[in-house]
Amino acid sequence: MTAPPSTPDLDGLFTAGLEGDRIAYQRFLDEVARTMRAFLRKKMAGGGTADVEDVVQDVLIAVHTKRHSWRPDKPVAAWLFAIARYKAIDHWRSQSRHSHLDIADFESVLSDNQSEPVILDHELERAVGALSGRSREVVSEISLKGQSISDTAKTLGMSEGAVRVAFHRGLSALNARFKDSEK
Amino acid sequence: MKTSQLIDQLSAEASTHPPKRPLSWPVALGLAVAVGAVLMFALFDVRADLPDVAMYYGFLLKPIVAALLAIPAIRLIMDVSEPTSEPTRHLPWLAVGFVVLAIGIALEMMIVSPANWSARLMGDNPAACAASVFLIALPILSMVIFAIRQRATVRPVMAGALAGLFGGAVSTFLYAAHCPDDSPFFLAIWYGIAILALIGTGALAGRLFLRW
Repeated sequence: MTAPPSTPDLDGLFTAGLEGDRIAYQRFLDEVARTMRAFLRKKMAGGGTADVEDVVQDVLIAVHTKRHSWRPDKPVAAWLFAIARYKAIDHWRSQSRHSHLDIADFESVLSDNQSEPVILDHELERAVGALSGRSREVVSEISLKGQSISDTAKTLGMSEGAVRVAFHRGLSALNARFKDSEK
Repeated sequence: MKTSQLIDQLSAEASTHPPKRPLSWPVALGLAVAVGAVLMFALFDVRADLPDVAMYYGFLLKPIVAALLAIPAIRLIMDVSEPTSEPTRHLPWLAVGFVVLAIGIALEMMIVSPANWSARLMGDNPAACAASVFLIALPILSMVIFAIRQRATVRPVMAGALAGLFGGAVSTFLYAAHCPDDSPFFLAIWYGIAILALIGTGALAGRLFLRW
């Protein structure tokens, strides 16, 4: 009977790799690639396989070139996570800067827009104005002025919980109103 | 390239090339301070009345506040250079320097009559002082950026800003030996402007040189 494959000992493989053990280092990088791939597939649900593989390779290169920055008193996994996070954020930022736009993305956005009713700003303001008391103040602070819940709570002297309740009520009322006007 | 090929390449390299060894912090920071000191004493004389003012609060405040900023900055720089550490944990220690500076300012306000405040604030040559502090700090800043670059910061802008703060603090410490203006007002404003400019320069340098 063979033993089930044990979870690889990252710390052991990595330290052996640092001392020049090629096989151990290779197994370590394989493990890093496998973990990163699984993690990124979940995180980058929209991105293609090529995108995920790009980040995986970026992380592998970063881990390799910065392998001297691991301190023996830290778990390898924590160090790995810090580097992977840095590279993933980096990748995501450069993606959003020179985002390669696909015509298919546009098409889906366009068709989305058409199916949704267009609400004009002044209609929205009038509708918010028609809300009752607290809800009106809360919705106009949050939706029209773009304040956060906690800021709204401070300016109106309410608890955050009360702001959430009033906001929710206001939105439901607005929703009902615009549904009616559609008919 | 396929990921498996990349892994083969990287592990081949790892077996022949041992990991890099960055310059140790004492060496890197020592060199940085030494370069700053050489520049300072090459460009400026030590003030002739140094022995007379050595115990005067207006003079003493400069090296003391500078040291109280530089020492926590060292710790923060070491932290921010490691990917796993919490760089902001020791940030509050910087407040000590500001508290001491505030005490100095309060003392000056009690001792010097308000009519003389603006003369004390402007001193002899404020622009030259701020420019000199900035200038002396530049090689220190560069050296620290170099040392951080050899490591792996995950906060490049903050790391650069801290390098600028350290450069400014060390430069203030050194330039105090030359600067004839001994008012806490002068220290807060003109040295303050130079240090802020260095923090900004450092942040920019961090953005440019500390990302990887």
